[in-house]
Amino acid sequence: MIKFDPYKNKTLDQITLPGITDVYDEHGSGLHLDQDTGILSIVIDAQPAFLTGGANVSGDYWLVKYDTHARRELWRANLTSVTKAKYGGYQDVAIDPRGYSYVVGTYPANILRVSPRGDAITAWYPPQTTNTTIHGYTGIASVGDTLLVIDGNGVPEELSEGDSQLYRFDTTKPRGQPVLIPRTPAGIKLGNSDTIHLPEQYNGTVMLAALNYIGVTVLRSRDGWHTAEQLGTITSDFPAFFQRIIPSTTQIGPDSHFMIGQKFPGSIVPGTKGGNQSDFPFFDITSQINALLA
Amino acid sequence: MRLSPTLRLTVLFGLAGFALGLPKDGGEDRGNDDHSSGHGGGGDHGDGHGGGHGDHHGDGGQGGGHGGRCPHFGNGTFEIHQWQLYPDTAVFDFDSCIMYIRYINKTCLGRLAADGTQRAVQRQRDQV
Repeated sequence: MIKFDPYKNKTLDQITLPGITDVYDEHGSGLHLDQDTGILSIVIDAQPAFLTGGANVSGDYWLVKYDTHARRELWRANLTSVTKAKYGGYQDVAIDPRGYSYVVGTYPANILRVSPRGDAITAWYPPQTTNTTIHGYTGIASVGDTLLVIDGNGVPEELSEGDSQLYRFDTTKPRGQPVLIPRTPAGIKLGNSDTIHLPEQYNGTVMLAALNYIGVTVLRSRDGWHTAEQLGTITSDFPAFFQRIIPSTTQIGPDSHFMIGQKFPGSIVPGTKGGNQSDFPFFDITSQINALLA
Repeated sequence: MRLSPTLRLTVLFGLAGFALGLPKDGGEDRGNDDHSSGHGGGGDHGDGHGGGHGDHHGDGGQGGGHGGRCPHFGNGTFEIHQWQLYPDTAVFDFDSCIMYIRYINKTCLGRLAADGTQRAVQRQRDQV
């Protein structure tokens, strides 16, 4: 992970996690920053599940907390200590007002809840099936006591012809109970999503869903996400096919929004752990979002 | 470095496919030749928490609990030039006005090697 100044286009620092950064099967995944405390929540996933479509869910999954002010890791919780490697695919995290962390797993859909100090992990919404190859939750966000989750709905995330669904959870409940969020207009599918993001600018009323091979779908809710308006999709048309994969979006400053186009390394440079590319675009989609919200 | 002129983003509005596209000639590609263009006279951006941003507090007025602490970012589409970065997820710190970017490296190669992905990629290519 790097610390980056977008205004100067300058990398300021690199953050590594001992025992994770250089371990082949460990992979940084979901990322969340608590704006009040400066604490980063980082999900570390194990690679096998994503290589096998959930057939192999072995390996260690972690939730790591890092204090950006003190510049040190606070703690890490081994999620596999609860799952016993019977399910997995953890790749995103959200935080509730009481400091509990909610980590979504994809193979199959499930949510783990981690206590504020990382000393208690519970299967808050356990898997509803033992079939780990059913592609489930991929992204999570929170607004107040409400968790919002996107479900791949059984379609592998690398496909574009998805039919994702949005669910709402109440974090004040001792156990997770998904409630389907109806979307309007009826009949428009929500493509296969990777992450969902509620940009700060809109106070939790606007969601950007990053869709693999498609782009970013903009949704809005006027009733606390009991229902959602699916406003439209900002498509990506990268020159290279692999780069059309849109893993996430981010806000910079008070009112600018960006779509991160994912590049894949292709051939690994001998003696290193990555490909040979050096230019990585962040696409400004602010005007398109504003047009859809107008 | 500027992006490929073939890049374009198009907004599809519902089923109607109402387009609000950017120009294909790269007219929206402002690049990052001048990275200071977004500061708006904000002075030294710095690396500290809140340092140099006092003049900007509250000037956003765009809503969002933290969105007004940092200056408007007016650079438009930009590129990060760092060998082997491969950014995947990013979060913006509205207090210090910097970003944390998680990047991928060798693991994504393995992800692409998954049989299902390869089949999907081939199918997509066939459709193009």
